[in-house]
Parts: sequence; structure tokens; C-alpha cells
Amino acid sequence: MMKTTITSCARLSTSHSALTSYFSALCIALPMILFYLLISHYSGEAIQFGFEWIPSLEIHAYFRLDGLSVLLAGLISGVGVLVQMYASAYMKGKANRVTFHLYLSLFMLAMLGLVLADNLLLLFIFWELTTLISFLLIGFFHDQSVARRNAIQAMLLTAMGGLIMLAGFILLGEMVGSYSLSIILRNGANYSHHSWFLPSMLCIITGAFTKSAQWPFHFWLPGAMTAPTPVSAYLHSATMVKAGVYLLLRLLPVYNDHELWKIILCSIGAFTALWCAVLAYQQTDLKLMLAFSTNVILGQLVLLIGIGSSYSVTAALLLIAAHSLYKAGLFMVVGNIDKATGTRERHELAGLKSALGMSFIAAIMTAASKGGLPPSFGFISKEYLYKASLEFNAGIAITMVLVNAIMVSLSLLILIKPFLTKHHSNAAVITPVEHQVFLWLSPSILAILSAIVPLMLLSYYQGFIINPVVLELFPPSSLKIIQLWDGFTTALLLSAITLILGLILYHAYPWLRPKVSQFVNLFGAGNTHFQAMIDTMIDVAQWQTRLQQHNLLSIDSLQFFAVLATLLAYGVFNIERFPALSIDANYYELVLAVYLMMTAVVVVKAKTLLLAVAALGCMGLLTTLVFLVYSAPDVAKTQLLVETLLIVFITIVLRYLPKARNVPKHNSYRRFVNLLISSVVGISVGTILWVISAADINSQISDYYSLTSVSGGHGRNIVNVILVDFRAFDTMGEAIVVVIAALATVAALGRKHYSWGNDTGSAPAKVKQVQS
Amino acid sequence: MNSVIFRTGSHIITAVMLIFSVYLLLRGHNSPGGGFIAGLIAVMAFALIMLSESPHYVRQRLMIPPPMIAGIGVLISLLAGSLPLFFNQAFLSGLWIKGTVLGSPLLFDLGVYLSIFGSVLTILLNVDEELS
Repeated sequence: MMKTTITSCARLSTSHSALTSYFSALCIALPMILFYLLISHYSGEAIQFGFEWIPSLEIHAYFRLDGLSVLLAGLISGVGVLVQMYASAYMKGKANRVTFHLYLSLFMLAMLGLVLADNLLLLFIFWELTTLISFLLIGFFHDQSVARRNAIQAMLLTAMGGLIMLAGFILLGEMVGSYSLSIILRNGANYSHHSWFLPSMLCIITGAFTKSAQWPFHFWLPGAMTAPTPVSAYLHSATMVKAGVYLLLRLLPVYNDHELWKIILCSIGAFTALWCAVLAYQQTDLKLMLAFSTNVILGQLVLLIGIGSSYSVTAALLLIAAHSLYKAGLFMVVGNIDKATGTRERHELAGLKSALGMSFIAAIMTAASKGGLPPSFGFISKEYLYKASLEFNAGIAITMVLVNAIMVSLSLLILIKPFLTKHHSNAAVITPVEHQVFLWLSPSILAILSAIVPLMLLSYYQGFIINPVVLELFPPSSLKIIQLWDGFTTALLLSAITLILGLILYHAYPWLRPKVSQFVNLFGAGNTHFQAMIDTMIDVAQWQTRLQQHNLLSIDSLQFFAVLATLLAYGVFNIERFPALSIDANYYELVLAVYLMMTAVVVVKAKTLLLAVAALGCMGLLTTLVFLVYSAPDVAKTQLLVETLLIVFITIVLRYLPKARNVPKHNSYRRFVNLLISSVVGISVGTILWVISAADINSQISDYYSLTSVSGGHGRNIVNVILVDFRAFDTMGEAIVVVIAALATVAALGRKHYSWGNDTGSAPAKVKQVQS
Repeated sequence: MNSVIFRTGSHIITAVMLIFSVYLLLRGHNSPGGGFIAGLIAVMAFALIMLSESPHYVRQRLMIPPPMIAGIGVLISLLAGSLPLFFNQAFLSGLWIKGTVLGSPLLFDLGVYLSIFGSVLTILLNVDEELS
């Protein structure tokens, strides 16, 4: 239903562009309103709001606004406004742009829910929602097979991580005895000797690592770059990939003192930063450079959380915001380059300065922040990164210098060659795009913010975000006051070394890149390993299917009944005491039984299918009579109708398939096997029924229903009251299953005669392929 | 099946069966009957017409495609289930108009009726069309 609405919206969009503009304006206004609400309600104190949702499962829709969540929520809604603005210009004239705005808005809401949720299970729901919507967005250009493959890869990986994380959440929640984040954060650390503490930690770390693209799951993020640029700017730099970091930071009070937590986070974080920096350096595609450098920043954030000191948490909080601002801006600039020239390959670009003037200015400011030039936001966050790592371990600090030097060289690589060199004949042709205001306005605002925050808003940042978070974790004495100029410190020296090293790496690029490329190729790309894993899994599944299915109904059903016979016989052998045999039946019951047996013999001995079917129908009708005798009219009626329908279906088949009219002859060996299996099934079922009917029946439930049927269900037919009132949820599920079965039948039959709507999909061909 | 008797008779019997299916649907809450059974009977009525005429004949006279009927049925059930939410009661609890026999379970049963009818008829028509 949802899908038809969306497609009809999309169809509308091509004809009514005024309506589309109206809709995109709405999508821009929504994050603005949310941003305003956030700012106006938050004043440095944590606020909680919400309602009880499913009390019996302890899932409550409580939300919590504190320093950490307001930082993320502010970025989500704030960058959301700019991305929606940018998207309205970027997607102009494309089909499905309404859908695109809709997905972006949905994603924003899910992401806001994720960072604001105060309940682990609620958080998980929003977490998976962001995974799903990111799947839709990565694969937005779904006519390209690369986009589809990368979308599936990202979803498989992050959804798998999400499920592992859910296991961790359940362990954690059951251990503490509550799923409320507030309670877990307060008491969680007391359970460090509980046997579930370590497993829950490992599961949650895995989930966070897949979402935040840490090694060895890092490759989905660059793959996700097949998405349209606004998506890369929003999901894959500013918001979604920060979800894992957010979760780790959120649960820091619980796990911070655990030794293994520190070891895993520091080592994987530092390694991801280093390795992905090397990978970024050897790219030639500007967007992929940015994508891998996002991996780098995520690695640094994980490292900082792993260090877990007051310095490092301050640094992480700065880095989250600094990175979101400059990386979203840079992605938009690269999007503009792509739009103007149709390529993102570095060596094909030249002389963009004149055509993309505003983008160039935005690019300078954001790249300065990325490279960590003073007085940009990136500079401050880098200073604190150095301070935190110097305090922790000198080796880590040196690694970070190398990583940041590569980042500096990347900034220069993105900036100098494409923009500043003269346009020559081999370079890509440039079409001006900057007459669309939103294309350069959004990155410019982000660029200006990258400069304004450190110069003017630092005290607000300290008061609203850093103080509340740090004070919750550490004693007030360890609080760090952030300032732009901190005197001549070791960190400043490291910054200077970083810049120099970055310049060297920039100049060495033409010579060094092929060598780095060669080195990297030794290990193979992560996504090829992943693809090989998936392919193997599919191969195993196909082998297994071939093993079990023979395209021959008689063998399939033989297998089924053989398994059933084994299980039943096992059950019969385990019966401890057989009740005394006493026949207490009326004459008509005996008559029924004799008739049933006679029809059974006819079914087996019939030479033509028509006779077999008729006898089978007879048997069904006799069974109906049995139900009637034992006063179950509703069951009898259903049985009667199902029997009749079965006959109708078989009649249709017999009518059109003359070859099926005679019962196929099996050889005597096969007939012996059939006889064996069917007699085992028959005798076992009979024995089990005999034992069951002799046992005392607990009539508590049926008594309850017969007592409350009229008072609670307003009906005298207990079966029906159970179906539509007491257990209506089951009925609804069954009805839906029947509908799905019908739709599956339509799909399996190839839809030759029937089309739904106006599309002539390729589903039938696919079905045929699977069958062959 | 070219028997004139079957052809003529099936139209009459179909009409009777359809009326009977509605009757079963409505009385289901107090006596044997209900949405599931009634839906199957309605399918059977159309199966009769389908055998005596053709699947195409049935589709033409239904106007609404059977899968859509099934979908509408599920939606009606969902609606009946969600109605109590507006009266501050749990999903799918029974709501009754005081003094009458009308209530949300009847609406729910109607949804079941339509979804069973639509789905089984879809299967039936498609199987027949595939084979013919």
C-alpha cells in the first residue's frame, strides 16, 4: 500500500512541479522546526519525555534530551535542513524526487529517534529503521546494478550487526533488570562481575562497529557512495555512521572500566584510522577519498572513546561536530563538481575555480577544517585528539600524526588540482551549475559554521554539550575548558609536524600513490571477500535445495512422510504406559469407521485418478460426519468446504491434463516402501490418539471460554467468539498468510493472464529460471 | 462443460449460495458460521460459475480484481482492530453498539470473509487460466 502511494506521488511529481516544490519546502521546514524545538527546550539540563508504549514487554517510548543526544540531534536536524535544501536543487528535474525527499525526511526522524531514545529496545527499533531507509537511499538509482549490490551489501552488514547488537541489548537489559537507558547507565557498571557482562559488551561493540564502518566492516561505507550526493553528505558523513559512535559513547559509563573494552576500541579504532587513511590516499575518485576519510574519522572517534579519559571524551565531542560540518560541506562541493563536469576522477578535473566560485570558497574553508588549520573547528578537535592520545600512549599519538598528515594531503589533493590549475583540453567540460542558489548555499553555510563555532560559539558548546557529558562521567576537577589558543604545547608541535608531513605527502603523491596502491592490492578489497562469502552461502543453499527437491511430487511427499513416520514412531516407542483398551461406541460410529476403511482401500487400489479422487472426497465427507457426531459443527462445516474445494481444484487439473488421468505405476520395491511408511504413520497416529483420548483432559481453558463467551464476547458460538474476539490477533495473522499465499501463487504461475496495474514486470522469467 | 442444465442451474445455485454465505457470515457469532466458512462458500459459488462458463466470465462480472478484494479485507480487519484504540482500549478488543448485535468483531469477521474470498478465488482463477 505504502509503495503504491509513493509511486503515485512520484507520478504526480512529473506533472505538477508546483506541488513538488511545495513538498520539498515542507521537507526543508520539518527539520527547521525540529531544530528550533530542540534549541528552545534544552538549557543544559537533561529532560525526559514520552509515554508508556508496551508496558508488558517493558518497551516504553521515553526520550531523553541531554548533552550527548542534543549534540547528535542538533546535527541531524541542522544538517538535515541544509541537506534537504541541497537535495531540492541537486535532484531538480529528476523523476522520483518527491520520493527522495520523503526518504530523507523518514531517515531524519528515525535517526532522531535513535539518538533520543531512552529505552534500549526502542533504540534498536530506530537503529534498524535507519538501516532500512539507508538501504533505500543507497540503492536509490536502482536501475544501476552497482547501486543495488552496494545497497544490499550495506544492509546485510549493518542489519547483521544490528541483530548481534540486539542480543547484546537483551543480555544487558536482563542483567540490569531494566531496558531503560537511564537506569542502565546508573547501575550498569555494578554488574561487571556478572557472567553476561562480557558477552553483552562484545555483541554491542560488534553492532556499533558495523554501523560505524570499523575494520573489518569498513568497506560498506565507500560502497555506499553509489548513493546520490545528498545521501552521502547526510547519512554517510554527518549522521548514520555516527550512530555506532553515539552508542559506544552512550554506554561508556557502563563499560569504561573494563580492560577488554579499552583494548578492543583503541586497537580497532587506531587500526581503522590508519588503514583507511592509506586506502583514502590511493584513491583517484574525489568522493571515494572523502568516503575513506570518513572511515578514518570514525576510527579516531572509536579510539577516543576507548581511551575514555576526560580529555578524550571532550575531543570526541568536538570531533563529531567538526567532522559532520566539514565533511557534509565537502561532499556537497564534490557533488557540485560531479554535476558540473560529470566526473569525480581527480585527473580529469581542472580549472573549476572560475565556474564554481562559491563552491571553491566553501571548499577552501571546509578543507581547512579537514586538514586542521587554525582557527578552524577541525584544528581544535585535532588539538584535543593529540592531547588525549599524548596522555594515553605516545605510539598512538604518533600514529594519529601520520593519519592526520594524510588527511592534510587529501585536503590539498581535493583542493589544488581540480580548482586551481588551468583548464586544458583533456580536462572534463564544465557546465555552470551555480545559478541554482541552494547548490552553493548549503556548503557555504556549513563552511561558515566550521569557522564560526571555534571563534564565537565555543562557550556555548562547552556549557551545553561538553560539561553535561563530561560531568556525568568524570569528577568535576577533570573538566577541560576548551579554547582556541592554549599556548605552546606538545599538541601544537604535533600539529605543526602534521602540516609539514601533509605537505610532503601531497608533493610525493604522484610518485607514492602507485606504490601504495600496489601494497594495498596485496590484501584484496574487503568487499570482494564479503561478496565471496555471500556467493558461497548461496551456493550451499542451492546445493541443499537440489539435494532435497526433485521436482517430483511423489518423491517429495515420500520424503516428508518418511520424516513424519520416523518422528511418530519415536514418539510411540517412548510411550510408557498404554491405557486399557475399551470400546465404548454407538453402532453408527462403528458403521462410519467401516466405511472410512473401505474408502481408504478404494483410494489405494484405484486404477484411474478420477476414482481415487472420488474416493478421497468420500473419505473427507465421512470425516465430516465424524466431526458432526462429536458435535463440532463449525469444524465439520470447514472440513466439508475444504474437501469440496479440493475436489474442485483436482477436477480442474484432471480436465486439462489428460496425462494425469491414470495413476502412475510404481515398481514393487517402491510400493513396498510406500506401504511401510504409510502403515507406520497410520499405526503411530492411531496409537497416539488412543493414548491421548484415554488421558484426563484439562478442561480449564474450554470452561473459561464457555463461561465468558456470552459475557465477554457477546456471542453464543464459542468457536466464532474465539476466532474474532478472544484470539482475533491469530485470525488476522492467518488471514494475511492466506492473502500472501494467493499472491505467491499468482507470482509462481507467471501472471500470464493477469496483470496488476500497468507494469509488465520481469518476475515470470525469474521464476522460470529458478525452477530450471 | 457444455451441459445446458449445468450451465443454467449453476447461475441459480450461485445466487443462492452467495445469499447463504452472507447469511452464514451474519449469524456466525451465535450459531455455526462465520467469516472463514462464509468466504469459502462464496468462493465455491464462483467456482461453479467458473466451471460452467469461464474464468474470464467471472473476472468480468466481479469488477473489482480478487487480489484487491483480499487486500480490502485485510484492511477492514485492521480497521476493526484499530477502532478500539480510539476508545482507549487494546488493539482488537471488541466494541459493541449498546443494545444491538453490531460491533467491531462483526466488522473484523467481514474483513476475514473478504480476504479469504479474494485470496482463494485468486488462486482458483489463476490455476484454471494457467492450465487452460
